[in-house]
Amino acid sequence: MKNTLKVERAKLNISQEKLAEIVGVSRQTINSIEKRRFVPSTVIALKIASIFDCKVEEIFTLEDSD
Amino acid sequence: MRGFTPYPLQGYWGKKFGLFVFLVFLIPYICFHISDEITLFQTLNNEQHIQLFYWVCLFGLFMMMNSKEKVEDERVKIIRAKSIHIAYMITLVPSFGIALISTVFEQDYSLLGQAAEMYITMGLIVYQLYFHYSLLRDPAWNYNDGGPLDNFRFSRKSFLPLVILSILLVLYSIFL
Repeated sequence: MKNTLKVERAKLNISQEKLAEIVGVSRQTINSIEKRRFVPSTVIALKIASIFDCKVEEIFTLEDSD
Repeated sequence: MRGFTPYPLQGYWGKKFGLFVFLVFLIPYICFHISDEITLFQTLNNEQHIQLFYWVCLFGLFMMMNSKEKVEDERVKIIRAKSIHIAYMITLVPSFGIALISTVFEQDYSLLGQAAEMYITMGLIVYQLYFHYSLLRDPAWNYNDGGPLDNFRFSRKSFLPLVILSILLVLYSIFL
């Protein structure tokens, strides 16, 4: 699953740690999501989307292998 | 059920406390192994001292295993579940082998105690190693739904520590 989390984070100038604190996860989890090593749950994906004020599909997109 | 935890974990303080206990009691454990002339408790002999510190060290590892991380999110829970699974499977094989050989072929039931001891010890050690390795390195195959061969092809390097550890465990069980 692809994601534009890093880009969205850069737009708002938020660090991984700050974003993790707001979402309620660890910084390593945000890092793992950005590196596409971890697929977040629906709740976390919705929380992230609400922080960036956009839809979940705009941040997370399926790949052909999914 | 929301908020219901069948087996509640301790807070993060438990992990720090467990690590402190493990490290502090590891030193006398090693010292008593090296020298027979050291005595701490007059009523205990050298072997009893070794066993005492051995089990206290394991208690420290158990406290660490039984404690939450600083931020206990879903990723940590997934890694914890995988670590317990891996620790259980890896330590079950040599323990099973020892128990089977000792009871069926050797008929030496005294080895059952050693099998149980190894199961407890190696289980805790394997869990700690795999859990913290996964937290740091986050091997992709943890989250891969492919079969074992697919997982191996996807991330060969991640299997290397586990293979080495498994070999060490088998050698330990052979030379027990």
